[in-house]
Amino acid sequence: MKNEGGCPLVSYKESLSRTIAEDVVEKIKNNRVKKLNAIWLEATGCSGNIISFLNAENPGLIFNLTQIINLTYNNTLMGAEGEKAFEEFLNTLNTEFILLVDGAVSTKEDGRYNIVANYKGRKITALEAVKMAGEKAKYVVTVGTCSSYGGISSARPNPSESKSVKEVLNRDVIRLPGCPAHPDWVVGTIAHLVGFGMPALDAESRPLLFYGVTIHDTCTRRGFFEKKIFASKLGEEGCMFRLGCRGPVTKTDCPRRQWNGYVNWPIGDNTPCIGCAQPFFPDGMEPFVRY
Amino acid sequence: MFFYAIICFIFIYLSVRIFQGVINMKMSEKEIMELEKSCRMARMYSNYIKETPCFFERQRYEMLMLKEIEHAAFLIRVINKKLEENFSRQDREFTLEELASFNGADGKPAYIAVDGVVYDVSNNAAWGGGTHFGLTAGTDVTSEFKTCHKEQILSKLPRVGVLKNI
Repeated sequence: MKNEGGCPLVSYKESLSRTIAEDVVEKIKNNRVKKLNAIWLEATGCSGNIISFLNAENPGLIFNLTQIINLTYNNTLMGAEGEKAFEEFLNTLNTEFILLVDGAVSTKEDGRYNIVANYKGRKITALEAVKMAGEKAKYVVTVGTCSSYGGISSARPNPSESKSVKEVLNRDVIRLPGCPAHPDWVVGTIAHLVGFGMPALDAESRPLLFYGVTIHDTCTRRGFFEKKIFASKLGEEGCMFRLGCRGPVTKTDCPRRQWNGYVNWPIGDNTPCIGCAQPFFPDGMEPFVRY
Repeated sequence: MFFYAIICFIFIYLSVRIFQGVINMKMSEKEIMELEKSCRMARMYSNYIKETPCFFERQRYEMLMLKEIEHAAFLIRVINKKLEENFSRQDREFTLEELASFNGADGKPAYIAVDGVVYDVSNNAAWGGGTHFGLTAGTDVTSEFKTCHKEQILSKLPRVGVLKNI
């Protein structure tokens, strides 16, 4: 569908993660690009993004792990344990790899509140691991709102002094906020990095492919908002703006892509958006529902 | 004596009105000058029409004259609008307690105060549920506003009144 008017949604709709991934696999098969290594480091997080990654459908998990990247380290998914596992981490550092960080980075007491490995008698903190890998990685991708902006890990009063990865690393990162981040966003970004290099980013370093427009702009209930038909309590059909919906300030493609295998999303299920991919989530997005 | 009082009263009344008028005129000074220019140009074109023997020139000057007249009409509309805006309609005054009741809850409108002026944010997309990044409507948000926004965005908000100075 050719659209000369310039609406970005039309062209981005055609770049589903699967399309990108398949293009990239072709390229890898034809030896035009190399399959990259990847380290998925979980810092001060909740593993939600890893679970979400396991839910990937377009393409699926096995496809991702075998065809697009060579995921050498992920504390939840890898088979190796103990020191052997951390050795995988260290060995990958000397190659070309994508670093995916999940969860914020606790900095209190030099990061000692979050130990990710015990190696040769030394406790390796998340802070140290992120710095080690961050300096050497070809690309750093922060998965989830916590690693991208601090998120829930650094919510008031932030007793662990958690910080976003960008604050700790001081280099360019690609942010994929979301609580959790949709698997398509992660896989699509990884595939794009392997096959086509850096995707187009907005001012906050989020790929425009997925974070280009606000939920409000593509919401299924936008007509109600325009006609000022507002729901006065949860369960009513109107726009939930008066109940505290954060759709207008949150930039993701939830209304189109939807979740859990593309079957549902918050507003479609009668609950307002809480802005989980917004930089100020959760403190700035509260109260989530307001009567 | 009585006569003197009437003269005084008339003088004061006129000067107040002229003063008001001057203020209003000052605000639309640019438009008034443009208006005068348009009228002059229209008169000039009509003179050309009378003088020239060429039919095509007459057509052309007629078109230019009509353009100037349309421009003049537009300027008059602009000046009128400015006069209406600056005309001091009695601004509704709010005390802080009155303002606090307009916090967006229970279907009430959501008002905020910035720099002593009260704005209606009930339909502003960024103020879902009457709240905005940790702030609640019905309050004076001047200091938070200044740390985050430039003054221009206030002109987009509908104005409902002013904070009462106690």
